[in-house]
Amino acid sequence: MNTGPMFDNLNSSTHDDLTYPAGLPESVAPLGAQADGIVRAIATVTAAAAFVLFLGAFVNGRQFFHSYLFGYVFALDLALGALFWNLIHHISDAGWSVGLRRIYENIHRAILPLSLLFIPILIGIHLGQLHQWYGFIHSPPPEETHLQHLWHVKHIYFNTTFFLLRLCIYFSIWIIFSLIMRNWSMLQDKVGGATLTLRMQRWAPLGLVLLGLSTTFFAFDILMSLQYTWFSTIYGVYYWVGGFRGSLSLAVLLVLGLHAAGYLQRTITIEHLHDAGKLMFGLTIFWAYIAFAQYFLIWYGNMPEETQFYLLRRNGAWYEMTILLPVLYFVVPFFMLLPRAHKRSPRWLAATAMLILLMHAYDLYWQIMPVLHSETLRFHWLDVAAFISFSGIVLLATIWGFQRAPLIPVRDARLQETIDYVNETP
Amino acid sequence: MTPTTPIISPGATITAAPARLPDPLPRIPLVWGPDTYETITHQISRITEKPQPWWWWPAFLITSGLLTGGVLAATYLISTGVGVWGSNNPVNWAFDITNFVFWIGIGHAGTLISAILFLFRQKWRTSINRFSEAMTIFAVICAGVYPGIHVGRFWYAWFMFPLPNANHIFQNFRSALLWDLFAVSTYFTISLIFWYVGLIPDLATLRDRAKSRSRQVIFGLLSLGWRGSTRHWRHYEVAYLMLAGLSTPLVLSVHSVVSFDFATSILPGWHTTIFPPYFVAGAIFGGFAMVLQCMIPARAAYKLHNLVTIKHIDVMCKFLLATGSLVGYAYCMELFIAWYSGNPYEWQTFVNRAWNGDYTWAYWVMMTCNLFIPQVFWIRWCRQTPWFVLLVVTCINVGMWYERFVIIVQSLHHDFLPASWGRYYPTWVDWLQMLGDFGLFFTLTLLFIRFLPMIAMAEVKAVLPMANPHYHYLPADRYLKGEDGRYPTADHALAAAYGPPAPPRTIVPPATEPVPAFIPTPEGTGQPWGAVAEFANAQDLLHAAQAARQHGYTHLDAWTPFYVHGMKEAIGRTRSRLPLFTLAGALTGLAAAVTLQFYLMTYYYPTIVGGKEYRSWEAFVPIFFEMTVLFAGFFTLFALIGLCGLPRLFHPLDAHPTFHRSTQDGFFLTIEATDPRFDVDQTRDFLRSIGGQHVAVIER
Repeated sequence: MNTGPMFDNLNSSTHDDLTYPAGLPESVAPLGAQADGIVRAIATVTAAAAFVLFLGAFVNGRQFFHSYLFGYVFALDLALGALFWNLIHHISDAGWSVGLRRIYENIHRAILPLSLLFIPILIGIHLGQLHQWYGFIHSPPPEETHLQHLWHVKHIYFNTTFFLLRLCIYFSIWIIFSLIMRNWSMLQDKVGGATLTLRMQRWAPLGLVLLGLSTTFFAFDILMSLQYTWFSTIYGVYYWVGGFRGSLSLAVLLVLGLHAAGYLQRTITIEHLHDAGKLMFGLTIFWAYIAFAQYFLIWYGNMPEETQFYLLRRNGAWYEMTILLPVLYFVVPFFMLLPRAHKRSPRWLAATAMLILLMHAYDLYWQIMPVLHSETLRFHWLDVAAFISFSGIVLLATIWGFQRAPLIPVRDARLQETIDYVNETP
Repeated sequence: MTPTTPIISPGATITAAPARLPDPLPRIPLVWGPDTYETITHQISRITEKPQPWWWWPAFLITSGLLTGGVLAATYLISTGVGVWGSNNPVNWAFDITNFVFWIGIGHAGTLISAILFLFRQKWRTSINRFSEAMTIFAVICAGVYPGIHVGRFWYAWFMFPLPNANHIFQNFRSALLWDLFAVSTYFTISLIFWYVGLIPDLATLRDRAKSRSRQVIFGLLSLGWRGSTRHWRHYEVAYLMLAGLSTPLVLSVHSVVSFDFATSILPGWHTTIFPPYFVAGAIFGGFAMVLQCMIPARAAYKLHNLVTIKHIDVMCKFLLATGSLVGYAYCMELFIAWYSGNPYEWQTFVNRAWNGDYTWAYWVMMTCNLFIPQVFWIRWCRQTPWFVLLVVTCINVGMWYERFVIIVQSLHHDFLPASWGRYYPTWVDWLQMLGDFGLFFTLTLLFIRFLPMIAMAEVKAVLPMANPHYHYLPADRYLKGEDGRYPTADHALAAAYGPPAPPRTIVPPATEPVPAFIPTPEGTGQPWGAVAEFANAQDLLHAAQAARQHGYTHLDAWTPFYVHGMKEAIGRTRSRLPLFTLAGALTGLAAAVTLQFYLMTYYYPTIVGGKEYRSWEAFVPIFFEMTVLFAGFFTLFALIGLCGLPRLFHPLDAHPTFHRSTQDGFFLTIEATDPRFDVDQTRDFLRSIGGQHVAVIER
């Protein structure tokens, strides 16, 4: 039984020497000019927000850099999470997520522009507006013995050359893997065959190991070190999980958006979204587990050098804001995603994905901002400007990707499997 | 009304393949070679039915000899006192807790394979999940020995249970040791339920194949009268999913709670926030190593190469590489943060561990075995050479034992006060007890492979190509080859050497005795129970059920050796409501745990422990979780049994001469006499008209 007419002729806006295999259930041609309108709209909003953010640098320096950092890590997390999902797709030789793979490839295009946008953070650190260790290690060793010890350690670790070298390594890893994975995938669209699939499968494990280590140390260097006397071995894992959740939710929202615009309705169906919903559910629990493990052991141990992290987040309105995190980032999404029917409902999925994405941003906000406003929560318009500009950058990178490449990997070795895919849960 | 032409013809399954996209990288089937439902049933059941192989008794004597040593050691310990162990100040915990954690960890792989891989739909797990689940249970039994005996006066072990104010001693719900009791006993219970639920269809297979009355009675009772009814399968599959969903966070919680044993006893080297996931990763790592340690010899001894293929070993080695690297990541994080924190005491502990301490050798044994050696699994040859894998997993087992030894003994022997530093020397009782545990584990394993099906037959049947109606059969000379006519990878060539999979059979095998049109039952009432027909394969049965529904029959049931997707819809049933019971159980358990802990610790017997407030909820969370899962698991099991109306040891269908195949390789459709359209002759004719064989009406 043939599933539908051949849509060869619909895929007419071929790109370069790209052709489409016979038997695709619908047109998956790049969006091309069809998305120009939305790109213009997003670009306008992003540019306006970025301009406001830029002005903020002259109004309130410290606030600007912290807001910028908040927006930046949110965007970077989404891009790195997408790279993770792409790599894990190859490692596990997955069939069901072939369609989603292209979405991730488009999201992690943002890594390249974000690498350049890291420079203002370096300026912020250099100006002493962001990380307090910068001032600490650039002053003479303190008098007190225990501070001396700390000074020597941090002096080595945050030594400018070493610090910059590390950052170069992290960004090189991310750029290299995001580029080669996407380029091989683009190449595969043209030539097909098993070779490129096998090549991506061969390189993905190395990429994952390097990605795991680099994001861990990035989290240590840029986020954990905001309170440089604080430390937590699980912090790297906590940071990853947030990124996984965020980019998965973003991918689900993008698919739902494409569906609403009339694309991919027969290639990424509710069966695939159901699976994405299950992963969102599982990661919701996993995040709670990691977050609780960190909180619980610090609470039980009750050692001052560790408890400072949570004590800072109990001041003033931060106390209520801290309670909000497990409620809105765990309990509510947990029950929203628990029934099977919700995971198969586009509306519920959209609502939950939106909530998770916003709470992911809030989680990062909660990690960064108490350092700046330690007495109580002080919401600032620059936070909004940063959030909008960086979200816009990720969206623009993604949609530009959709304009240039077919919406799914058209010659993936597992394409038939993903099109036929039906969720077998009883 | 009887249709004159058959609605479907037998053997209509294999139709022309639809136009397909290029398939340059065919999926390798999970079972290699031309196996059918029948051969798999035979291959696995035979192991438990025929006499044991020559090596079984010698192996059993050795392991039970070790076990006897362990029993003697425990008896000596209990009759004399814990002083017979080498544990002493400052190393008060040593071999006992090391072994305890080691065995608990071993158990984790079973749950990972059976539950987590199930949720991730890693269907290759079907060949190894039964074995691993059994290992989980045996490993938890081995671990459970230690909390029982390490108190010395083990007749006071009941103090561990939350009984009200016994002898003015009360359980401390803020203590990691009590969390451990809840976690381990919940884990054992849920694993046992999960294992047993998984076993039910296979126990029924053994019952239906039984030659002797005693086997028939034993397996009949154990299988609760399972017959593969689709009305049962629809509850069963959901119950299995629920149990998998419960086991997954449970397995994470158990080793996390074990890690709390250490993490909440604040000493440098004992407390870092990564402990919970680090212990879980380590447990899965060690457990996978033990699964391979047992599976590779069993695979060779029973020639299971077609079911536990070299690809299974390959994938498991990749898991070892991944989890080993995660454990290595945790080691490195500990080391890095100890330095980064600038805390000289913390750093000193690690210098002592890795550089200048008494147990530096143990640390490097651990690092070598757990982090460095598994890196050989980046190489394909190392993953696919069974004897080499066996060698590596032995190293890993040693390494994982040393990991616990390092965490416990090394941290304790060298704390803040130089005056209380001291070394630990195990005594012969320690060694004997440890060997006895290995004896217990392998004795139970040997008994298991002797008496129970070590591979989940029903699940393996469901992943055969013939169970997949959409499987794309290629001509034998193109089997597993890409578009260019070559094998895309070496694995494809390996699998292809076993030959292409068998297509579904198209004719019903003949009955050994003629099937009468009306079959009386021993205590028959003279009234018909219903009509039954046999079909050649799952697809034919599915079509037949659909045809019967179209014809207006409603009281249908389909009887299959495994769950056939789409069958419950075909007989007019919807998704099981069983999850509601699970949810009710979860909420009941949570409410019970909240009441129990807050009432006892806050109002009835308020106790300050570790400077925490009476009302602080954090320390109650582990038991909230454990009781939630425990109750949810029990509710699921009881809901499954209740909704299926089991146990049902006798059934009118048992009188049908070929019906015993329903748990092996037969596919049956029944139309019950309660159906408004039922008529003895017409229904029988209808079943024949749609291609049914061995059609009969059964007396009630």
